[in-house]
Amino acid sequence: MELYKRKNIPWRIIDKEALVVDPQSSLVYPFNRVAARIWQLLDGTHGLQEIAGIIYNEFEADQEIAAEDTRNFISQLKEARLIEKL
Amino acid sequence: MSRHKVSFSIAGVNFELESDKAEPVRWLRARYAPYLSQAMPGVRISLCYNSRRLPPPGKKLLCGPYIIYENRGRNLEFKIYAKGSYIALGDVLRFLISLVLLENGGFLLHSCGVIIDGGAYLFSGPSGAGKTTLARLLPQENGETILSDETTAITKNSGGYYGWATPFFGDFGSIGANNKSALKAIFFLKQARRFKLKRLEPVYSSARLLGNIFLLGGNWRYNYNIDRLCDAALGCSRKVAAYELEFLPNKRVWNYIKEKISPGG
Repeated sequence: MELYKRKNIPWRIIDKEALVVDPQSSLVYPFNRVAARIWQLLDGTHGLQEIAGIIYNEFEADQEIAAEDTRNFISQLKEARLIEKL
Repeated sequence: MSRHKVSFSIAGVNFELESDKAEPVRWLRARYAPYLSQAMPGVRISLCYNSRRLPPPGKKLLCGPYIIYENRGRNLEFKIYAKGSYIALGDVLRFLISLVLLENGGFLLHSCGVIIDGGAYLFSGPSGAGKTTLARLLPQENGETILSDETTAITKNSGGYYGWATPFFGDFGSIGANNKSALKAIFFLKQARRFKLKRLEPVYSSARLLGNIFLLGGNWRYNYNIDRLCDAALGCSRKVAAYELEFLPNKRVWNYIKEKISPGG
């Protein structure tokens, strides 16, 4: 199932890290490099497994850890209502 | 109906305010005394307490008991229909000044500002973080100057960023001079049982700035130019060093800070 960022969420990439602003909750989220890359990939064309695979390849992480971290982070984004499913 | 006028300059922007009541203008003249100016205004504000006429063309902004219309003609103009006491006018002006500074990548920051050795240093945090305490503890013996204990303005120009005094102050009281200086560093305050300084990467500095910029924190419902605010915070974070400062609110704090900001510190 493809995932995408909620509309009208301003975000910026800076030095490969990300700053995400949610005007509805008045919260600001700074993301590290891995989280920023996952955030970039939430464009409606990638599913969770595919994103985990890209993180595994790009960051040379342990495959299981990459999958678990990606799943956990996406779960947190859902809880914060920053992403939606297609 | 007679109009009453006052002109003032804040963070390098010249404002002219006219009102159909004398009291707000008198209040502004007293409150903004160091900021009164005769310079050609770049921003005009019209304050109407008695008007029942139709609203002017322009974008409608809301701010508590005030209804504000923004009109972008040759000059930036704001028309304010006021229902409440003029005392709340200070908050409305702070909101408008925030919008105006944002036009050029600047903003108002919830912070205590000081000038040390010719450079501006800002200490930011929410109410209770220790801003007024820091201002009170500053020994003003070697030319140190306080810009504000509550709100400082940050502006951007080709040479970099500047920290400015504002007429918005906390319990410390009026500072009494419209000073500015090149912005050297921003510290985000955290009261603790020790002194510790941690450098913040731009993305984390930006997040802290956004949490302490006026317009956000409580004013997000206006949803006004959040994209532009993000760019302003990031721009400043890329150019100005930022730190998290853990500190004990006692006299040693300024020795610690001065040691850290000194060359080789």
